[in-house]
Amino acid sequence: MTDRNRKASTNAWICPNDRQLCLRAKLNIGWSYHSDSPRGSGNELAQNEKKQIMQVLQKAENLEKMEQERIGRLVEKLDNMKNHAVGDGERSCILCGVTFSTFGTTPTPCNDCKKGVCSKCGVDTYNSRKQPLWLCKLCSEQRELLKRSGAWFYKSMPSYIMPVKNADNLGSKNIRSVVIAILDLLLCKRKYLNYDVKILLFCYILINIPQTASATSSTSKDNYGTSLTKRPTMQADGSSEDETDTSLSTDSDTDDGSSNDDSIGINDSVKPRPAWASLAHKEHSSNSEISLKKSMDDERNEESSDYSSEVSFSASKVNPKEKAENENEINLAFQEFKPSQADFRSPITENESIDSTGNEGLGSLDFSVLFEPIDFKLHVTIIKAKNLKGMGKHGVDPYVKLQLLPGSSKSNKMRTKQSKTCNPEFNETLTYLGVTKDDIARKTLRVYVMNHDRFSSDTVIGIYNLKLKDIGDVMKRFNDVPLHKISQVLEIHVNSIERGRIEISLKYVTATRTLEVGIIQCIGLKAMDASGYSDPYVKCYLRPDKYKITKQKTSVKRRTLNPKFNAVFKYKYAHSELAGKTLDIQVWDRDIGRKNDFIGGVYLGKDSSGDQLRHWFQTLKTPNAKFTHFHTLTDELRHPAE
Amino acid sequence: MAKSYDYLFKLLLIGDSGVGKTCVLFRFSEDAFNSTFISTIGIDFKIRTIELDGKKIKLQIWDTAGQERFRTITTAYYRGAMGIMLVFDITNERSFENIKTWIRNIEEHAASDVEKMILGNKCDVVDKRQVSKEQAQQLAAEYGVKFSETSAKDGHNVEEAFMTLAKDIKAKMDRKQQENNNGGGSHSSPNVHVGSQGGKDKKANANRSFSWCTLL
Repeated sequence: MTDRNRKASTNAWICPNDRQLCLRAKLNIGWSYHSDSPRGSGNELAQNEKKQIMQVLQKAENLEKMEQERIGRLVEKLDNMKNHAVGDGERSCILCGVTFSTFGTTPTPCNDCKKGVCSKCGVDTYNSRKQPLWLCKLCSEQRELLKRSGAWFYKSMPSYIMPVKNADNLGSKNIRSVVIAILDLLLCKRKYLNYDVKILLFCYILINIPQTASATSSTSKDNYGTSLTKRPTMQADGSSEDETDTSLSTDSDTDDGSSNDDSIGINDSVKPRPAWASLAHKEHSSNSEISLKKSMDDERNEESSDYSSEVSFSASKVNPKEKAENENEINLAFQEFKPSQADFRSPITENESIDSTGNEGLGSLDFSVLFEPIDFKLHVTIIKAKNLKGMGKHGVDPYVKLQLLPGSSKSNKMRTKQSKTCNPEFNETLTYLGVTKDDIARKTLRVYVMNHDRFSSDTVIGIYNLKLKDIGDVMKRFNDVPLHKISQVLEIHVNSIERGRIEISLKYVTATRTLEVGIIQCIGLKAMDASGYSDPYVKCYLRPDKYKITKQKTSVKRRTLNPKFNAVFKYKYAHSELAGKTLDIQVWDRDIGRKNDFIGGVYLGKDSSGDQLRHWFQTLKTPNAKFTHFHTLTDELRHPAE
Repeated sequence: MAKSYDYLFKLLLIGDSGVGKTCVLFRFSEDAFNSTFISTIGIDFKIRTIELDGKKIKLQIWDTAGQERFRTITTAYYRGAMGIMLVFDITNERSFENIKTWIRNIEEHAASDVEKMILGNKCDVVDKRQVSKEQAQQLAAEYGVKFSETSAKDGHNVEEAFMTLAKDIKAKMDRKQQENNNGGGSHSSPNVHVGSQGGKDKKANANRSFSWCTLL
């Protein structure tokens, strides 16, 4: 009622525009015109109204975040369970891995996955028609997750936040308590004492060296999990010797793995499935299941695009239709706050095969690449890897390493954090700084999927080469790219001429009549020392300079190829004097006990060319403005004859 | 602070301006009533955790503004709702007629399998009644939706209405799950288990803490 009155009093009648009048004349539908959408001035939201709505949205967002964290915890729980599942479901219990026999444990097939489980690892429930239902713990957990997350309604997994692992400080305590508990157990049961001195020793070391403890904390935590799930079933088995075997060897896994049987722990033959993979692999994979998986992928896609791209943001900005200006703001906000938008995408039918293993069975990788030419940045977002081939004796600890080729090796390698599964999700963005268009045209991004090995050097699971010239300025996403063996890929010749790049800012301040030269950082310097690194510092002259009075130096940055200096050199000269000068910036490698090595230099002045010349003139032309640029170092070392 | 819960259901209240959506929600969430009319601005929500079949269910109930000018905002929330309460005022015939419009709105914006329920609010005001219970029931039956007469003022049926809706959603959830997992819906035949059953095994089976074989 109030609504209507307001409309009438303010702006019920609007003069139609020419186009509409023209249309009306043609269609012969009369001249009465009422704005179809009551979006005149009467419809505006007042400032306080906006504020109030925003508050509600904020509140909702907080709630949403809590919910996402909750789902994240559920997902993690299920993932952990899956990772700890050791059996094959035929001859041994899918979860705890206890071998079935006619006398001992007998298998009962799970209703969902049809794999055999022992009585300890199954759950007896009812379905909605009150029929009895026997499920393995994995499937029952999976069902719970579907319900708890709301995925049953939205037909896709809502976005979730995985809980942050604070294993580093927590883990060291945990592992100590775990090890102590195990030692206690061993000591109180005398018969185990004769077992393996090595293991006891190892436990002892673990307790006494906190660093070791924290370094191995995550693994040991996992092992703890296995040993926990193990114990009861072993008892059911009735063979006590077996029991010691496993409860001990789960720990000795971390030692060298050679001491005991391989049947425990996550070894190569067992492929831990991702939380959702099994959904898609199910026999009766109904449409909705597939779409569930698919839309999950989509979601990740969206997540990752949120990371870096302003592209996607501007895309979402485009669609506010013919809304009043000040309503835009709120509507925009709504699009962002709309209860997890991603949930409501209609399921997409999937034609591709579900099994996306790489052609060599090494696994596949999802990642995206975005080049920002203005900032000279190359963002590489590693999203996830799938079906990685397990390599190490100690399970898989995959991580992703990047390298820009050609280029010196140590300066341009970056890596993600380690993950613990064969289907790791990294969702990490690694950014290369100081990448020029020239680099893009020339260079290749090599993505290594590595397997971390705590006791020997890390091994390469597979690699993928991406020619950067194929990417453009927009975000490119690569889904399910198969990994190759390292030998199959042509080694790219490492160009030794590359000397690196330097980021310089220039500013002429008229008030103080000074030229401010900012040495910000260097990228990818050539390694001059045997260690594969350099100890770089930057020298700067303003030539001609007979007596080297303009020489200024930065501090030496030890053992790095990407030093950040953030130093500013000031030269007090009149603007007119500067025009004839040349700025000579040199990067040197500091060596103790012998002559310092020249890494590379760059010259800015009227005699220089290209970027250097442009940068110099920009600075002189527009005083009091700061210009920052990357310059490629050259091996040219000028010694002006003065 | 964060109370644990098993499921989160998102509900939505829609209906004409002034039918008492906010009051119904206020009654349900706080068990209180305020007779002054304050028009809801845009959108708001309240939380209440209930228990159904031993499961804790957190209800996030969105209260929308009935006014036309907030329509763009409110419709954005249809899609995320698992259950929608359509509220009308039994002392206002127009609000009852508009239920049809609201249902059309739902069909347009909400998820296809959303649970719906119609509430005739203000049933305590008997002398000004314009919509009879039968009329409303007929309409509800037409759309295959449950109907309930409530009064936010004296709290009549409010709790029950929300419980019914939550129950319906939960039932749908369990049902859906079943379909999802079972595909064809076949219950695994008991023959699969029998392999282990033989005369000599009987002792071993009897020892097991759980065995259906012993039941045979």
